[in-house]
Amino acid sequence: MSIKEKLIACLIENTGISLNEAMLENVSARFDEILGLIGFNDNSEEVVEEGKVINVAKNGIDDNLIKYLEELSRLKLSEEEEKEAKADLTKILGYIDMLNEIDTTDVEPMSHPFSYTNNFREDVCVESTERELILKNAPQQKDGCFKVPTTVE
Amino acid sequence: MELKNKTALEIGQMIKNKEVSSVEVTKAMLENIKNREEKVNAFVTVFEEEAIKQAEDVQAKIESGELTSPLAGVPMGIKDNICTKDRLTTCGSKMLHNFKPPYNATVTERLENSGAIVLGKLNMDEFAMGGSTETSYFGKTTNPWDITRVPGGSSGGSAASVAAEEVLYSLGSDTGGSIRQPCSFCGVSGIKPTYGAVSRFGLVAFASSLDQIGPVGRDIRDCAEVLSIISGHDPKDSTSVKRPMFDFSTCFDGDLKGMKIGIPTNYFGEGLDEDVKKPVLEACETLKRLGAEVEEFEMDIVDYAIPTYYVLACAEASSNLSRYDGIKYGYRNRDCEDLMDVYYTSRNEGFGMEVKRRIMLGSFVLSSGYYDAYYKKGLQIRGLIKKSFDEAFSKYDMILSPVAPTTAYKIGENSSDPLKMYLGDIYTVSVNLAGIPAVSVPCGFGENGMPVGMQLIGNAFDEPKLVRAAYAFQKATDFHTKKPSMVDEKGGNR
Repeated sequence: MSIKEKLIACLIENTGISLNEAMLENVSARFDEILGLIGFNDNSEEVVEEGKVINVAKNGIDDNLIKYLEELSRLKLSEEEEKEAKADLTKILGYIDMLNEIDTTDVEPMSHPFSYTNNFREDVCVESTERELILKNAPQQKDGCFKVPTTVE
Repeated sequence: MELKNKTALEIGQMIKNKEVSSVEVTKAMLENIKNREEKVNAFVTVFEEEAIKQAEDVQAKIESGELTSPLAGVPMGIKDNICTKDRLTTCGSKMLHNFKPPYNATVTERLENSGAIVLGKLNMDEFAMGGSTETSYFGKTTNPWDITRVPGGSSGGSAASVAAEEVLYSLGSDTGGSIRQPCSFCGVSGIKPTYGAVSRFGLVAFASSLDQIGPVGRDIRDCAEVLSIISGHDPKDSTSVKRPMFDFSTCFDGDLKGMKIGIPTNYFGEGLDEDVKKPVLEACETLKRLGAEVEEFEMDIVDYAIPTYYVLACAEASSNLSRYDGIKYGYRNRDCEDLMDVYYTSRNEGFGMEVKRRIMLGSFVLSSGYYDAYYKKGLQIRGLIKKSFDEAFSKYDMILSPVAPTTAYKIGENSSDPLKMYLGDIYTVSVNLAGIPAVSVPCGFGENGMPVGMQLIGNAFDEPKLVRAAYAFQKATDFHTKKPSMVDEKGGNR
């Protein structure tokens, strides 16, 4: 069930109103709009079902999750590599689970060694690196641009 | 002209005194490289002609009085994840096997402006992910003390090249111990500076909130001199801190009176080899003799440093390494007819297995549904670790600990078990999580004849205190002057 479907189900359950097809379409469109506004990317169908979330270490990592991680990582492992990754990640995540022994209620997450405020440079014009110098490292180039396979017909 | 067993500062002084020229020293080091690289493989690339040319230019500038740095004209090496303009910077990866950056890292710029001679680029674990320099696309580096053993990592080339006297000092980078652990394994000195002390501009990013560049040298004095050159605010790195330069001038009197050193008891418990424990505890006695007060204390939260580190470092790595798409630079599979295929295939063929494993682990802890349980939890425990260091430094000037639980192990011994490899980082990663500085200096040898290092950890920007203590220790001991037999036929400690 996608997030949108869940929201609609929740709406119906809590209001007791049954929606006809036109109303459903309308609500669905509004939810799409709202989810879009908050930048929510609904890919929950690809996520392995809930409930496995915390039990990864216990259940091990299954093939679906490995495939999903490959997709997120833009990697295409060979069968042999997948087998290896599955065993290693299961073991590593099992070890990482020891973090649950620590109570972190009300502990502020620390994403950086020091608290920074914005650290701006003065706004002055400087020359940027020349196009040719940057393109020198490009595996393929054409007419002063990076070359990629056709993406739009 | 005898150049063996000299420190970088001594060579620098000899060049100033006209006892030797920068070109002569450079040629002598290139000769060492020629003779020892077959065994050590510390370099990915050697800049033979460029280095001689650079030495000629620098020599002229020293003579004209234009260059006055104490290290002007002294040959050195740079870890291969630090950008050198128009010169290969591979990160030990097939992904960047042909990458020539169009710019210099700030540290490269600062060193070359002060007259450093860059002999080449030093081998490392691929993208600095590893502790043994076994995962490089350009082959393994060995330990000059015993070439059947690893030099440590990820800055294995930086430490091995100094130990083998192929360079007089080098630059490494430290995300979870990558300067300190190879220094311990190879019997050389190194500093992991405070986060923000040294510009990261031009350092190929692994985990941006943990990465820091630092020096590796024959002794702590050389390291302090290099750190003076490379540290300081850089507008090109928004995380570099605006503060006065380090002043090391008063650090070299050898006196430790009034210095309070804490020893975390859980750092000396289960899992620590006797080979390491004994020399580090003996070092503790030496520090006491020099006037330091030493006291044991508890710091249990650091037992959780490794899992915290791997969650956060991998999360940042998965994000940082998303830039390798096979299009802008680096490796590309040219047979793909679909853009998505370019990404998937180039990345899969360009990265080695350890890098892929960490990217996938990072993608996992950041993915929806798992983010709170892993990534956020990791950030919270990072906060707790930092807090426990703050508490320790309210009582002590510094903390003494081992660098690694073992001496250098045999090549291949740990490479098939990533988790076992990660556990070797137990004494080093918490320093990066807290963003504080630490030094690694030789303090003895194991029964197996391999060097052992100790770690001194300080509060943020307390590098001068650490240098002071490490210098006093080196003045009172001679472990840092011992040489592997490939350098000194008389052998090291036995």
